[in-house]
Amino acid sequence: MNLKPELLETLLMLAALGQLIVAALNLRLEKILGWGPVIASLPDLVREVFVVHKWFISITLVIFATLTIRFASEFAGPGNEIARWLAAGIALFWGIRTAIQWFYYGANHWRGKSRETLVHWLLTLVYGGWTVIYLIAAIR
Amino acid sequence: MITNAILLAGIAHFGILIASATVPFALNWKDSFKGLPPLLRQLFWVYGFFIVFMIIAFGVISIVHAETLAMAASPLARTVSGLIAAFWFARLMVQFFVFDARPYLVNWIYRIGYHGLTVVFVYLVVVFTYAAFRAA
Repeated sequence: MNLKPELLETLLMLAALGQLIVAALNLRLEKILGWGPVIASLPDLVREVFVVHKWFISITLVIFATLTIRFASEFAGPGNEIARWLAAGIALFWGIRTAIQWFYYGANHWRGKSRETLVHWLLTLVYGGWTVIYLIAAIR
Repeated sequence: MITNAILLAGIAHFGILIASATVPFALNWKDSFKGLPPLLRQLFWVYGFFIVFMIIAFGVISIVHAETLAMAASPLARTVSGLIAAFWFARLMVQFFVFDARPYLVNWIYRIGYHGLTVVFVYLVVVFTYAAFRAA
């Protein structure tokens, strides 16, 4: 796809901001979905692993966003090999996450429920969009 | 020398994966997750999958771009090293101050594996911090 570097840079910045929002929301997921008591009832180490994984997923998203914001021009421009590898890796991450939305999380979570259906399609579009943006940066 | 140290660090990431693969069995996730809401159970596995993804990604980039990271040739290379160091420093702090794995270290394989992981985390923090801050 032949996007102007300035436009791709803007899209990358928007994707980075979106990833920061998801990182913050991820840390509040238990409260958002009302899972607090269930998680509290888990064995100590299993609960700790869950909390640590949750934090590391958010750290990962902050890493993606930091790299993207600080080096948007390298991501959007040609010739920087390590930037292309990073963009390809982030595209793969979000591509897999988009596929998980459809093929791992069952449709019974959202089908027939208007709010959940809206969230499902929103996540598909946002995660799918980030996949495309980073893929374009990777293959320029 | 630093190039070889980063290459070794890249390979070490794949060693960490072997330890990660034992976690669901050692913690008996299958039984622990019984009675959880299905979405939460699936989220456990998705989190685990993406943690594995990041470990593989760090390993691959360390091996493929060992020289670029070692030379600290660009701000991007330094930042990548710095962020990998920060990731593993956070993991090291979890090892020391969050997890109490003692009840689960029931045999010598788990004990060696757990303490071996600590050594590997320290190595990764040292190597990538050095790569991030060394003079280009």
